[in-house]
Amino acid sequence: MMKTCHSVDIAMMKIARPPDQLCSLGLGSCVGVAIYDPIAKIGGLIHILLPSIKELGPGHSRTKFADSGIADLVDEMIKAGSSKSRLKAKMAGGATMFALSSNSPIASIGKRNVESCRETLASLGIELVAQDTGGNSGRTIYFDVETGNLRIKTVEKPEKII
Amino acid sequence: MTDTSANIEDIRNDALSEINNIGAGNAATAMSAFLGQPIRQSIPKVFRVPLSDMANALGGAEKVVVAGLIEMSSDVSGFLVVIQDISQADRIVEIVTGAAPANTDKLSISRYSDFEVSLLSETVNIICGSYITAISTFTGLKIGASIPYLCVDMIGSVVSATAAEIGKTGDFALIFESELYNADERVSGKLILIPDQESCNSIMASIGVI
Repeated sequence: MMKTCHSVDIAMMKIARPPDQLCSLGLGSCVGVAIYDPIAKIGGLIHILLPSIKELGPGHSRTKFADSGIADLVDEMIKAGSSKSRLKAKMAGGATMFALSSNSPIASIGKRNVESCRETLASLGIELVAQDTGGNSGRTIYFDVETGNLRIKTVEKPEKII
Repeated sequence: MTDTSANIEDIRNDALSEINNIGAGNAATAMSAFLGQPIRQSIPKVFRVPLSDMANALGGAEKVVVAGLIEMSSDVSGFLVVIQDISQADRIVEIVTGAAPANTDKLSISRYSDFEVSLLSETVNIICGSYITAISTFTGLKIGASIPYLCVDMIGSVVSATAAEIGKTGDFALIFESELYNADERVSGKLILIPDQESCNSIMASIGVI
């Protein structure tokens, strides 16, 4: 059967079942959080732009933010038939693309995104089993829902799977 | 949409097109001086794209580009990002130094020597400076600019850091497309203007739209 790869763009989330894959192309300071249920074979991916909806208040799309977005993804996955206790997470992204002075808001956005994803997963009781975050390179990620493997491509470094 | 808001939208687009015209004109003149050859501009276009479409509008998330960024401060705060194809950036290096870049096998910032990085940063300075002058002249607002920062990576990843800034305020970015050409080729690409919401309001207020 053909594997379809569903692209998850900025501030989007999607859920898939095997043999389909989920991917996010060109993550910079954004973070891709992949959550899967290895028994029910359900996987979800969210492309986070900002750390917290609390900084901005209502009127914003919830999937833009780590705290509200990850919570919504977990809810959707439970509705789709996953069991919360079986959910595992992996994440990649959160790079610093421009070496700006430290008082600029975008200098630390990647780091703050990663931190907020980690805190949100912990508060939801979802184990973070692997991550590839930080650095200065953009990443493209492919999430294999069947195996839970997260394949990470950068422009110059060798591909890796976490 | 009511008639009134449609009108405001028209005036806003006219104002933005005018800023784009002046900015691209300034940039063409300054780049001519820098490169020592006549530079002409294409008819500039300005468009507003949703955040999630930004990478696609700029040529696809995984395309590797040379991106320059300048942070604006004072009356207008936000970012200006200049996106250039690798081939265009290479060409600028060739025009100025007479030789190809240091490491053409690399697709990262190490493709360029320190000197070439500062040369490409200078083109970012020139292009952004031209637009900042245009916005400033048009609106009467005072705009400060940071030094230029350069990065070579996938387009999706270079725009996402700045998209985060837009994400805080609205869901759209402004893309000024004004291509600069010498006798036979394109030497410069697209400019993304990312003012924060407050600055957008100041710009619009100063040209009498709100």
